[in-house]
Amino acid sequence: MTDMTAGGPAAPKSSLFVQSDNVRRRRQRGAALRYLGMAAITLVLFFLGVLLFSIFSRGLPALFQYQAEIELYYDPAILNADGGAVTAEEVNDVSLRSGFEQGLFTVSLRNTIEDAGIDIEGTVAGVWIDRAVGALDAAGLSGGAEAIAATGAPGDAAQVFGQTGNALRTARTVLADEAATTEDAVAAITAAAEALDAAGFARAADTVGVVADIATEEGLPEAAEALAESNYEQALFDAATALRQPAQFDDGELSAIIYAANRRDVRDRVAANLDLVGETDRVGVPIAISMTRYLSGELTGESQAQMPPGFNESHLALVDRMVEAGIIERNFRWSFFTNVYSQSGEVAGIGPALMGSAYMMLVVLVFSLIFGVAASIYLEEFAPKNRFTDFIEINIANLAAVPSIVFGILGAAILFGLTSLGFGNSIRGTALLGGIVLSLMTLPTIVIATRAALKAVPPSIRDAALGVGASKVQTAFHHTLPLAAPGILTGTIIGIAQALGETAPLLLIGLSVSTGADILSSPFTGGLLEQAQSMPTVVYLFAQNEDAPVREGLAQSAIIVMLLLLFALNILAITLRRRFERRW
Amino acid sequence: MSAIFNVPTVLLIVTVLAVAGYFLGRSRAIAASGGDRRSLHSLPKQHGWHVALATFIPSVLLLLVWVFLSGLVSNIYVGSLVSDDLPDLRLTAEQRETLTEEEQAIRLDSSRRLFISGAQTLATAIEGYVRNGSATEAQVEAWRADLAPLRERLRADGQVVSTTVSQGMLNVARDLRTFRNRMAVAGPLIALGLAVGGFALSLMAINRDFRARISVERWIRGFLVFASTMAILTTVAILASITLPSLTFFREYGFFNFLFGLEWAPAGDTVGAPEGPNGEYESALGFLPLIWGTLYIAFVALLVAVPLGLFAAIYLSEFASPRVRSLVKPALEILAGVPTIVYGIFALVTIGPFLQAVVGSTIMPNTVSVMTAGVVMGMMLVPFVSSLSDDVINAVPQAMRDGSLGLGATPSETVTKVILPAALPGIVGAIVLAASRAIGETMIVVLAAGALSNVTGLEANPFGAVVTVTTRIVAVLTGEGSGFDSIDVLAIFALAFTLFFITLGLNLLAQRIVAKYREQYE
Amino acid sequence: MNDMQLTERTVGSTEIKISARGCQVYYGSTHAIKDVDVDINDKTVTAFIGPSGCGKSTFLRCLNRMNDTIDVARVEGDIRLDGEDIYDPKVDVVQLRAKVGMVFQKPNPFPKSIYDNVAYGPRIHGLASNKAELDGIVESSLKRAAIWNEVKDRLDAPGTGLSGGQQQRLCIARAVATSPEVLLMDEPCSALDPIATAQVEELIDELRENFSVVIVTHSMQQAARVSQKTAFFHLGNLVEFGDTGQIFTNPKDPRTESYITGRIG
Repeated sequence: MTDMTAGGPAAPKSSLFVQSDNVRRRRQRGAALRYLGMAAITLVLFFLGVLLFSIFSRGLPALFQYQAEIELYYDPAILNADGGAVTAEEVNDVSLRSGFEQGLFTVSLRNTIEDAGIDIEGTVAGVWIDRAVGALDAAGLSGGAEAIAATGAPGDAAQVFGQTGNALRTARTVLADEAATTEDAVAAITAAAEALDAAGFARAADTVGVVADIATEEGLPEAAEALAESNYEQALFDAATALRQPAQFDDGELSAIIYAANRRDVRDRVAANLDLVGETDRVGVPIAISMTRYLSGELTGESQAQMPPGFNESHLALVDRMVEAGIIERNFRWSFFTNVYSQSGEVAGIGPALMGSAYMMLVVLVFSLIFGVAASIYLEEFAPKNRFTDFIEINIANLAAVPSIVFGILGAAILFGLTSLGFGNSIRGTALLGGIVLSLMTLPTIVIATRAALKAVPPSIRDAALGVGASKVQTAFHHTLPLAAPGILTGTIIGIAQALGETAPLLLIGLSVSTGADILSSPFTGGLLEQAQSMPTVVYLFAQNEDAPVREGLAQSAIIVMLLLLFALNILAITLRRRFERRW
Repeated sequence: MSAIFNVPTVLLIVTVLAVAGYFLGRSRAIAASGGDRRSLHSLPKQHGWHVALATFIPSVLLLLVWVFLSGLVSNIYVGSLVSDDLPDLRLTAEQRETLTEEEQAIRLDSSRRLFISGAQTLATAIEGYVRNGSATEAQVEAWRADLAPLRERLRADGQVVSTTVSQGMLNVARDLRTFRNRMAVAGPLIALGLAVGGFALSLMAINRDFRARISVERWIRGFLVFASTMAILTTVAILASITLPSLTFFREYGFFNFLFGLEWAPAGDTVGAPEGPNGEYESALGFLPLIWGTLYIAFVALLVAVPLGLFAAIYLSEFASPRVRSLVKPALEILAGVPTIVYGIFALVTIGPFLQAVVGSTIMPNTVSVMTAGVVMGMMLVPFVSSLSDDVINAVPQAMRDGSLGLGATPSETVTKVILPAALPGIVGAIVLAASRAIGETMIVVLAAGALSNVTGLEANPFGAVVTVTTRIVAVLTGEGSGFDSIDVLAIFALAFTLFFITLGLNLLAQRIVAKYREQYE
Repeated sequence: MNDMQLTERTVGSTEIKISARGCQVYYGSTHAIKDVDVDINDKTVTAFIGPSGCGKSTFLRCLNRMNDTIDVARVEGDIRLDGEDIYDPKVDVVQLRAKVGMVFQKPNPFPKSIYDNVAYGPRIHGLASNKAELDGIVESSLKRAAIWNEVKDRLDAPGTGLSGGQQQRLCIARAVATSPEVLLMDEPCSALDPIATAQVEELIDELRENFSVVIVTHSMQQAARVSQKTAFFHLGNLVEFGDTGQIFTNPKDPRTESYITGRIG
């Protein structure tokens, strides 16, 4: 019977239990496609993971702010330099920067730190002494700590080390000088060895002393080589440089640690209440954003690249001590949600942006829901099948795919047009204009979703309504529309979520500039017509900031807020769909 | 008197009238029915609606039109007030001698514009001044520019006055203010008249046989039709707003100079650009470097997105277990829902530095580059490509799969030999749509492709920075102070023009391909 | 019932090709096939008849494990092809389907040329070593499917462009081209007009020469015309199985009788 399966070449009778070579090969080849698919999905998921990690690992720490609680002393000497009675005007004339930030705040900060039992000079000096000792140890100059202690103050030690280094340098110069005699060289080397001995480095002095013997016995070049082998000179200079640092830690350095964002509030408060002069108040002051990054572990401070720009080890050590003493505390940054955007990361916030986005969503909701639903009802329930209807449909399909920036161009052109019509720049950057542009963009999305929802209502419902004598309009509004409402709502929410993240069109109509006011007025009293920001444009502003910490930290915090909003909207849409979806 | 006739008040009155009209109309209809409601053609409610709509709609429409037109009309009016022989506009004798006629015309035109805008702000300032109660009408009439320090006085009151005030300007401003005030009263007045008229007429029209329902439904249908033409209006508005300035630009700069120019160096961004004959910098506005950057990035993006998206879609629709699908699909949806600016920042702070660390800073001098933008944009497009491909793959009838499997093909053979060839047109459509998205994408490239303002030639290094069409549009239109007439700004509209038509062409193409594909299985 | 001519055909072979014992199929929680025992002879046309939803198609799809493609379907029991359990884990379903071909209810030619449609199976199974051999297989398959004369001049035309009857014969040619041992046909004529149906029925009779054919049909007349053995399914049970002549003239079970006399259906 095997040969009866004519047609092709007679297949030999094979058992099902044995996989033929051919099939095995095919199975192997087929597996490649499956693996490619898995690899693609893995890659995409990995990318998503990296994206989210990149956002949250940077954005979450930036949502916390380190604050120094300082005992602010309203120093009459600063507020009222001429003595006599203090007046509000005098207070207002005191410079915010030199008088308040570098004066009141810094002096109070110093006092607060010292009251907490932290020795500022000691801490700073300790840092540098450690560094100096480290440099000396590395070159084999052991006993550096004792040497420094022997001189008394770090500054004196710096001097001694500098002189010793100079003696070594002189010896080196003499050895390198071809015209020098052996006697000169021996004298210079001996002087250097003596200097080392005097500074407290007896062993090093012996080492250098041997160089003198080499100079007499083998010649100057060999001696120069032997001297160069010890790295004492550079180490001594490095130690001297480090030891000179503590003296430079003055008020300016101290005030760099804090960012006195509330200095204006403080001045106003004093001016309003002159009794405060001479009193003490407990005030929270944000820590400079670079220091915040150090404290939150983003920068370790171990190498130059890991050092907050503009700061050095002494700042870090002092801040560490302040944290230990409980002067610096980590707080959630509530002000981020209310403050206005600012170049300074310490005080920048997204208040007007949140409100602006909310207002725009309101405009989009009203506008595109009314027009989108009306258009869909017309197209789905009333429109005759003719060229005009086709044209509308083509338009909607194309608008859905037009790049968003083109809508921005439309908005910009509207602005130009209104300006030349005599309206001036009055609606540039307002939530109203932004909302209208976003609405036009969202309209196609909502029309497509609404039409799908209307289509899903079975024709039998319409027939039933028409059959009892309802007019077409009544059928549409009494029966079809209510039944399609959940689908329409879901589509609308998704459309709004899309609009919430749109950036490019808003940039073009001026929503990316800073606003003056902290908050916008209510939408019913003209808030729609005030200069606004939006979440995505404020993210853009953060991304354009000059400070890396703002760019990399706060921008991500703003993104987190935006993503959470989007997430909430989508969850809402999904819930609505689950709850009310009806299958016919 | 004029205090009543402003837009908000009239709007309120009209609304109240409309609400009253609803109830009056209803009760009148009930009265007309003589107790037997069945004798009415329409329900009392519908009569009420008819009155309300007849009151509300015409007057509100008029108000809207008025608000937009009054600015235009007062502009024309102020133009007619300013004659060329005003002392403020006259050229100096020296200018008349040294300048050519064309240059004189340009000077005259610009000083005229300056004067008009000065008069407009002045009129606004005076109005605000009077509103604040700082002066009476009679006092304003008596003002003379040379006597009082007018500008300081207005500024002290918090008004905005930009230019110095001459007597001629003050006269024009006063006339303009009177005109504006008249316009501001006239419009609401007419609107109110319309409302009252509509209210009265429609109330009187109510009787047993009046077809209120038909009439109300006509209003509603009218609104529905209007709403559905919004899409057309938007398209027309977009076309008008990009085409008109573009045509001006093409006329001034030359269409082919633009299209085939190899250098992009707008004068506004260039220091030391070559000086033209009229003492102005000449902008070089060649399109090629920009479209090159755009297409280069789009190409890289598609290179990433198409294989990943396609393989993911194939795996999900043909091989994945329902569990895997239910986990991966939401993840892809998250990726699709992330706003593009987030991708842009991600490219800027993470992908860019990473790429630079990998290839070294000799090849990649900046963290922004074609690859940075392209790779991230590609990842952004993966869910787009995969969900569209998923749709077309699922649209291939199950019978095809059964037919192939029934012949003893493996699932992979079924995919590669039957399903993919069948779905190919749809997949091509999806790729075209993705290309259109990539070309029009803005925020990723703004943040991650580079922000040079001048480029010459076509950058070939995939790790080099480029400039794209959308980047330039954002850069110029977010910059403050560019006038609409500057050729640099006009060029931006030409860029938008080409962008619009390229994406439109791609979209139409994709729709056509997909429609053909759907026909095949319907 | 007047067209139910029972052609007295001898059963071609008594060798059992497929035997099923205690076969159960579940769709999720639905018990679609209940304990079916059946033996299908080689070189014989076996018809499965029964009212809609009785499970005859489901059972047919068990015979080449097409139910595997449905996630919720579960098959129990013992189905053997030439004595080998086709649900054995060692069995590669691809090899099984190469031996047990299938023709579906609705003609489903691939959107390819006529030639490529027929050549698809031989190509994937590697049945031809060169182009000439492949040409030969395509030609002979098309001839056996009785469509060669209609399409020989347009082998490059798309298969989807043919008429319904031609498409179905093309699908049969496609199935035949892989040289299966058994050919399963799931209501192959339900989407065809009477003339095309007659052509396909004639073809089935010819295919009996070489294959064991199992055909599902909702038309008793068709079963009577083409088959030698008939199985009657009702509500997932195999009610009666026997020679076609016996089933139609002398049914043993009252349900079979009710069905063929038109009382249930």
